[in-house]
Amino acid sequence: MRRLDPVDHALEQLAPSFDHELPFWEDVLMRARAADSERDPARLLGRSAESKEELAPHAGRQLGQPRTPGRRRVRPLVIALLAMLAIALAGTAFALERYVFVGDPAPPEVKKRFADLNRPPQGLLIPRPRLRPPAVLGERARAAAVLASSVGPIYVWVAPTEGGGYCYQVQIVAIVGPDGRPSGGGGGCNPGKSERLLAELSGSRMRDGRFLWLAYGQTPSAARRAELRFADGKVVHVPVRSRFFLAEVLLEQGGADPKQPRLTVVVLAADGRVVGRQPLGHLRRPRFDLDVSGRQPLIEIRTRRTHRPLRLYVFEQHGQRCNVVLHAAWKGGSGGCNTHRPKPNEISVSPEQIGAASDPRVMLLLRGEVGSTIASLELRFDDEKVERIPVVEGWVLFQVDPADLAAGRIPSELVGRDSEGSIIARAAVGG
Amino acid sequence: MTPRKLPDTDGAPLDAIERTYRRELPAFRRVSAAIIGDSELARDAVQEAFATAVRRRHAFRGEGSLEGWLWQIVINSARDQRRRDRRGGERLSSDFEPSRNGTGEADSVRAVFSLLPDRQRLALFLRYYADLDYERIAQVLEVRPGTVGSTLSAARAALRTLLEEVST
Repeated sequence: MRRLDPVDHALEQLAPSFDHELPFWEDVLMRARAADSERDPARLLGRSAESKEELAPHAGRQLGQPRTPGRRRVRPLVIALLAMLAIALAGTAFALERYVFVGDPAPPEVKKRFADLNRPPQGLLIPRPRLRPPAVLGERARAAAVLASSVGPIYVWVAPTEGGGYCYQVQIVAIVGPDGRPSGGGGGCNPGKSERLLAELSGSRMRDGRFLWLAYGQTPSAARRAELRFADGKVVHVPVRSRFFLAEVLLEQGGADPKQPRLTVVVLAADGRVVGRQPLGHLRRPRFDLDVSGRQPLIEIRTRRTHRPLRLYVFEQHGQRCNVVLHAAWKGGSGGCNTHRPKPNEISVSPEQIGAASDPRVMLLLRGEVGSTIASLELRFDDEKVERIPVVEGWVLFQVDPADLAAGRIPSELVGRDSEGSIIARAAVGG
Repeated sequence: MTPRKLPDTDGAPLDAIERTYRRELPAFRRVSAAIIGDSELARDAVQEAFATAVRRRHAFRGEGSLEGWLWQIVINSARDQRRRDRRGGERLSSDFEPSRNGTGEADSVRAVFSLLPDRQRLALFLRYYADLDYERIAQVLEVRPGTVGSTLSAARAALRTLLEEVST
């Protein structure tokens, strides 16, 4: 093997390769327009008054740059003219704008997703316990952070709650959902008013197998910048705008490394005071790759409607037990790993609904594990119908007959019997 | 939704700038990262550079290649970013991954590069990371093409010496 020239070797070490990163041309145009807007107040007034008031102190400011000087006095007539122009533009400016600025209103589908958080879950065959709704004001959802990441644009959408808190959705544009729309990223709510730092670290697997780590969150109002501090001394500087920050945390490709450094986010005020600090944990790729290629399924059933195979795989990995269910028509499977073993007379079987209750193709699966003394399992419906569920080496994969669901029968209880037929375990379905 | 169209003017065509951006983005980012010492700031510097190029595209006179003009803007943006970063006095270290053997070799490499004259360093970056030919490098650095070869040779020789000194 040819030895790399020491100068070339040094150059390789000096800067990482960016070969697999995606372009973000929209961000370039956005910045170009933002710079134009700074020179042209009429364009700035074209944005909503709320966003201008919220964002003016921070928007467009680079890390380490001083704040912009105070406002200049403008003649009242000019103000009146600009206000009229703003009113004229306000209704159309965002409708025409394809690219996202910090402070931009969220698109309708994002607003709807926020609004849906206030409603009880719809279309569930097995009712879930009702949680207190966050009282989120979806119509006021805005872009709190925009990032040109290595996988393309990422947005954090935030909507306030009636209690003074907020709910958020992270949108990774490169991750596309089954309906072809951008997906991924997740979200959550902090419904109460808070001046604390509320940060998160999340990892998402991209289609090319890479792992994208994001650090984001809300800061105390005094924060102007954030630092991601690694235990080994590395520091990544991140701007804070409108109390939010968003950063990509890049890691070398490779397997899980238990020595990966712990990450802490520290937020600082304009004068350098630390106004918040929160450990975000260790940066590790998930230990489990739920790849079942080469494995034999433990249970295979046929779906009741289309008679396609549905397979349950059970295997050991890194000292934990993993189970994965795969369906030929799905792009991926569902599964996970843990160290939990059911007690001898425990039923650890959960319902899994695929599709909305109103969809005639809806499937209700029961999957999981039972304890070692449970020899047989039965499903009881609320109208006292009983159906036997096969148990294979302690595992269960079963599809509830859609005809039962269509007839309004609700699966209510699982009952486990020992080898002599005595009932030794009971569990509510979905309980 | 229809994106608001930025009007085309005389100078550099917007679509040509976009094509160059898309085609050469990894090189732009890598050279910027080498200049700044931080991949996150490098991404930002390249985005800012192209925003500047879009805004000032009418100023492109066509006296050299568009790519060369864009490289000049990117390098200036990266230098500005580095200056801001240093002036802030906040930076403790780079976000580049430390060397695998944990000896701080990457830090030594950065220190060695910092000892090179600016022109030599940039010539190396443009040649190695962006694979620019001598003529293009000459345009970016505003030197005669004939001096690029000697600049690169001098840079490599100086680096080799410095690296040997560091490793002994």
